[in-house]
Amino acid sequence: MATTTTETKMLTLCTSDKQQFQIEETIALQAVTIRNMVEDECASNVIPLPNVNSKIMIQIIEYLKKHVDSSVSKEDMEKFDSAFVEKKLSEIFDIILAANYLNIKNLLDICCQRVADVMKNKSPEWVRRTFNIVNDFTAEEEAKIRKEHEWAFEGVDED
Amino acid sequence: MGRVSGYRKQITLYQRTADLIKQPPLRSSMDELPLDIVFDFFSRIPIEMLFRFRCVSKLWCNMIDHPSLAIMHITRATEGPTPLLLSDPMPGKSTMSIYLAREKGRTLETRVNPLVEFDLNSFHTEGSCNGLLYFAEFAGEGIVTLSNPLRREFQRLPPIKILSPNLRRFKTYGLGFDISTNTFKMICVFLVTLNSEASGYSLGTLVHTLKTSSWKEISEVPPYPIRGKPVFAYGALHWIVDPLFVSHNLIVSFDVGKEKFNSISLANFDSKDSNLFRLVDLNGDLGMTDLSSNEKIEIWVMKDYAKKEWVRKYIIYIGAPDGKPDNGHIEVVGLWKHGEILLRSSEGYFFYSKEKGLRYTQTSGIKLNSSVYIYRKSLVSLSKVMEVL
Repeated sequence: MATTTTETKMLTLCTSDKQQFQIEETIALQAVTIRNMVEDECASNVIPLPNVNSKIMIQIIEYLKKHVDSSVSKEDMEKFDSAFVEKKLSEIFDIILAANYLNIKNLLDICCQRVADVMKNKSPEWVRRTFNIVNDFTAEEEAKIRKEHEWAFEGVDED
Repeated sequence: MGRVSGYRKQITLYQRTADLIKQPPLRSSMDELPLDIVFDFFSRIPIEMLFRFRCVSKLWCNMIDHPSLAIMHITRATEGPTPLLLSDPMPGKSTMSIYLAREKGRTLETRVNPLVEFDLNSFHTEGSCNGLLYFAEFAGEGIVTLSNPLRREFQRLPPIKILSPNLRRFKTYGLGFDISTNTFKMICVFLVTLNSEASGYSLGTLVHTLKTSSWKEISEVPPYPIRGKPVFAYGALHWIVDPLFVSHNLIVSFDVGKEKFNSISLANFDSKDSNLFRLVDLNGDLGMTDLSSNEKIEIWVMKDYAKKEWVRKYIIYIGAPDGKPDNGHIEVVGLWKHGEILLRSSEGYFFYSKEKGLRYTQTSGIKLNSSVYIYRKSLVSLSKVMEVL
């Protein structure tokens, strides 16, 4: 029987669209940026996060809640991670920006890996279209660059 | 540990250099990402695809050619083994060609066009490290040429002038990568004096750091003369000692960062003839092939480098041809994709895996005067190696 009850310490995160999220401190402190803020300014317990909107914050909290749980096996965690990154690229990009700002290394890693995996075996045209990149080479310049590494164009997936 | 710290150091390096790259108008979602994130994507993408993506845009081309991405790729070490075919000159010609090789429908073949052709008449392949191949002259003063065949680049190192003419053939090279400074280092061990009657000798060591323009002699020398192609693994080069000079079995290692030699005992193998030991790169692991039996080939792998613990990983039952006491005619080329070992004999090429055993492979376009070599692709550009720091 527990003789003492320690109250779970909570933190309030305030997103760019002024939504407030109350979460357990242990969950939030996985983000190095939040940890630094808490260590530096112990006065307030409302943390402003002007670079993250509430839509992305919900997803990030979902990730952090799972990762704070030490009872989850390595295998289950990997399953969770691979399901977590099954999102549209634009959404992954938003999470990357937020994870980069909040300094959550594992989350950044799995998202970057997801983008890299999507790009594998794709053609330059697919990459330009998907990522909305303007081809600023002239036709001659592009032909020359392709010619330099012709071998790299075998085994491209159909778009 | 080393991998992570090396990678972190790079981030500040390319953040600084990334500012120098001219950015196109910020419009697409990819453009909203900081450049270090895009570098991170690239560091996770196989080299072949990056060479393809050079034509996406000028920014992408600049980023892919940036020396820090080459280093990030090396430190991340995700690139798998790649077979290359090195084709020696045909009679009457002096051009050597390098092809990418592959196995397609149980046939070992080259891709149609060579990556590069070059005139290196009296050179032979010495080895490779992180995507760079190096070639050395058979005799002569000691000219070493480096190449990244994917970039079709060659760089000749300055000649080694201090060798006495009659000892020229006693020199051994090695190329390693120092992860603490992100530099390649070429080393040359040579005989300074040799007194064959008293079996006395003295050795010298030269190091050429690829950011500099000259060889420098260091005071460290190997404990014994070494020979053959080295294997670069765990930040060090490894050679088998030259059995002409030493009766017991030893490996000599050279820590590329610290520039120190060490020896690794092979006491467990002392009953064997080290003439029939070969070191082999098993995709970054140090392997040792024992060809001394006429019934089998054993491949040992250094399981724990700190403890210098060897594990016998493969036993391949191959009978030597009639009358031969050993399997010295077989070469273990390296680790192919899907964990298969590629071997070569006078009969041709064959594969071995624990699951499938031995299987022979047909060859196409692979002539007798050529050899298959397994290396790891890299983005390193020799012309930009000087710019890395």
